[in-house]
Amino acid sequence: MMWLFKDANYPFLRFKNWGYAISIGLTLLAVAVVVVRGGLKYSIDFTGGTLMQLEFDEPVESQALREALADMEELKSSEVQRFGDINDFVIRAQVPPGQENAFRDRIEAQLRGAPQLEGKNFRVVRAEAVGPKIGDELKGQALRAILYAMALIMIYVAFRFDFKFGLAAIIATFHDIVMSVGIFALVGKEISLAVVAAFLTIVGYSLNDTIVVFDRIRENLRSMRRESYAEVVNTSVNQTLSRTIITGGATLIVLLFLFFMGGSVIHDFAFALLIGILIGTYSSIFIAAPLVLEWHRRFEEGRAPATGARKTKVGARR
Amino acid sequence: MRRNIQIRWLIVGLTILASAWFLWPTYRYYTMSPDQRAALQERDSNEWDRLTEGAIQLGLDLQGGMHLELELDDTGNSFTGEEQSDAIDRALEIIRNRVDQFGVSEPLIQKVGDDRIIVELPGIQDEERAKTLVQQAAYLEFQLVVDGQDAIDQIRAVDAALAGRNVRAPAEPAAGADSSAASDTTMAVTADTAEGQSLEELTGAQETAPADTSGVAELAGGGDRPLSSLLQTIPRGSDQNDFLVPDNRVADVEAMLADSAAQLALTPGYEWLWSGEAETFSDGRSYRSLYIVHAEPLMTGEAVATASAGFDTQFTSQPIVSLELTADGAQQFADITRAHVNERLAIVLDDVVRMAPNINQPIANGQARIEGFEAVEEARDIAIVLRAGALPAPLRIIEERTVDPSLGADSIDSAKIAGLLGVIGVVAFMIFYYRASGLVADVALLLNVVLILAALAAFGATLTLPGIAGLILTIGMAVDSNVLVFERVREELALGKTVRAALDTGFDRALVTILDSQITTLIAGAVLFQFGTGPIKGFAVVLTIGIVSSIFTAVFVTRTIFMTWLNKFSPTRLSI
Repeated sequence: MMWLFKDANYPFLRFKNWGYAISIGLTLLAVAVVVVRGGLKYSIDFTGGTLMQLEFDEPVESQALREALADMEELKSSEVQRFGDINDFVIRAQVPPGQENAFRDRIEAQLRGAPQLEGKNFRVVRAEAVGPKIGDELKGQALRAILYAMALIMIYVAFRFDFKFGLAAIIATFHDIVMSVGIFALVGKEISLAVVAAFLTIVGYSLNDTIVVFDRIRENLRSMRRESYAEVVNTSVNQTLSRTIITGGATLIVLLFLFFMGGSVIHDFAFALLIGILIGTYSSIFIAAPLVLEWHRRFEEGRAPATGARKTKVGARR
Repeated sequence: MRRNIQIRWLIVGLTILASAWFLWPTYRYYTMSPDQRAALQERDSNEWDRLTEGAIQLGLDLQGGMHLELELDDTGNSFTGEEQSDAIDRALEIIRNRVDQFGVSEPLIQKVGDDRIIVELPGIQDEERAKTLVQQAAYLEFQLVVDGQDAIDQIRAVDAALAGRNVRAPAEPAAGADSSAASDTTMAVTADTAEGQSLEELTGAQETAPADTSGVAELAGGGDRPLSSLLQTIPRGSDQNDFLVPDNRVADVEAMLADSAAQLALTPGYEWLWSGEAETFSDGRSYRSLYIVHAEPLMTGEAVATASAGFDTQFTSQPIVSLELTADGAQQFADITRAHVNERLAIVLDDVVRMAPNINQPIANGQARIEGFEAVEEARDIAIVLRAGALPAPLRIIEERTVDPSLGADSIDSAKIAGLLGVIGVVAFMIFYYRASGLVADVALLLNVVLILAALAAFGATLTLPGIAGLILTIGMAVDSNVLVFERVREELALGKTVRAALDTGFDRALVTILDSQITTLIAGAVLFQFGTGPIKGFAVVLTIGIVSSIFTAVFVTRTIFMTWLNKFSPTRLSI
């Protein structure tokens, strides 16, 4: 039998303050990055505008493409970006609604006639245009979706466990989302519809992880009647540690393949899931479980009939 | 116990059979060559329909195509709630009709909310054309052209109104080397058509007619004639004039005509209309025609019974659209043409003058035609929209996404490779870590993939790129249930329990955890389904199905395998 963590008994709770510090620090860093960058970078799904993806027959320098488009006034605010494959480029721009097609036609004409791109054939393989109204609507919808999901899950967890578990789970999940968004801002990636979908999936996954730990805490609270609350929590985290790491690992295996080989279109989507699952795994151990203990210490200690007169020292510290 | 196991295997067997049943059309469809598909479609359309309905359809992001979201453009019409809902329903019907006639396979046309329509056209090559087809209001009107002195008076009145407000013709946009060539504009136009004259010459107005009526001086100046300084006047026949505007000045003229004073100067009941495409004359410049017409149409598209595209066989062999009028329409058309012989009748489609022929004689046969198409495709599309009828109001495109089939194919290829490697990675890991038990979990894992695909086929769901990503993600997440069980079994074994007892306890205890933890992902999936459109919805569907089926395979199926193994061999050791 092969053990990843044989009889694990790491004093995780001893590091909880480190966990809090790191998380709060990173969260503040994430917020700072977003503020410094002047807000999040949204894709045209949310801002409205137009996008076109060009596929050249042969490799092209992005500089050549930028030069070819240099004298187009509207492109001042737009972006020319290599996309995945070295022959692919994406051009994004904000164009008044209704003029997206004309704009794309002009770019095409400009590129076909550009001396810098002489002899390089290309095709438009993707074209998108989103009206500003739709963008605003989608933004609202995305935000509502994430909030609804969190609220529903909190209610479910509170119902199945009790309120402090629900609260801890939701704080941990919220933390995961904020950190993921922060990392997106840090690396300068855009928040698109697909990325929001990935964030929602992270909500589900991260909670899944957290609940496995909570489930064990609940079970151990019944069977480990003599240990302190802190010991119960710590033991539970340790008992579920292999599972947490193995499941996280299996999911990471597929996501790494998806990220590196899944193609340009879902690259960012895979990236969002990848960081979300890493953060989600971390937060179940270092945020969610300690928060339950924290709540217990602050509000329930000394009057918790179900758990009897528990001491609340961290077991490992004895 | 034995009986219990038999029932379990029966359930597993039936599930596999049902999956095979649901997946059969998908397998058949995707192993057919395009030729075979075409042949089947030809031979037996019923069977073809069953096949395409039964097979998992690929989303637009995978097979290429166009996604449009349209909104009723009610500027100008103020609809009440009921009228709006009625208008959207009619628009939906008309678009469906048009798309059917256009010949797109498996289109999706659907109402969202109260005032929007989603149109999905798989495999569309010419997006411009498809968009026009869907969006075009196709409001056909027959409007009488205001000609002769009346027309000239209108232009002068507008000139005066504009001059009174100090509106001047803006300088010609810098065209570089073009400006010198422009000096003989009038001459060239004259050579091309009839003898060209400026409005001043026609009306005998002497005061400002510059010596150089052609070229830059006239176009850029204008003084107290801001509008007519931009017009080239081409007489046609006795009492009719074409007013041409250089293509690069159309925006200037439009701005002038939109001026409130200019609008007041126009006789009530008249309106300005433009011709569609600019026409290039022998001077190398292109012009659009400006018309003054009676705003009230004499006849509308409702009079058209059917429309068909063809070629003019008599003279030009250009593409045309022939209109067959209804009985009432034919009568109406005969009356109109009788009453207005030697006047021009503008055939106006969506406020653009397609043509304005002179009525030479009354037309009683209920036939009319539209000329002036660049290509036969254009004629064909106009015929389609005229047949399908006019939209109750124009539609505005508020979201458009087009994916080229080649990009979709690339996406599928990449996702396939990533998915395959992901499966191999996870399968290998499970065997490496859990040995024989890992193998059992792998069987469940693969069955899970089959079940998800079968469920997609059964629900008629569409597989999108995020959907495939969801499938791959599910492969990673689906082992979770087995990991939970196996870790628990190991703990029980470590406590010294027998293999049978350890497995029983492991499965029982883990089940609660599995249900509790998966339900949260299920909630996220449901919210995602509510929120998402198109590809995102596809992801939500796969994620949700994946969770349910993974509970079945990882808990029920693997346990059945273990139970059978326990009963057959009564083992004392478990490879886990």
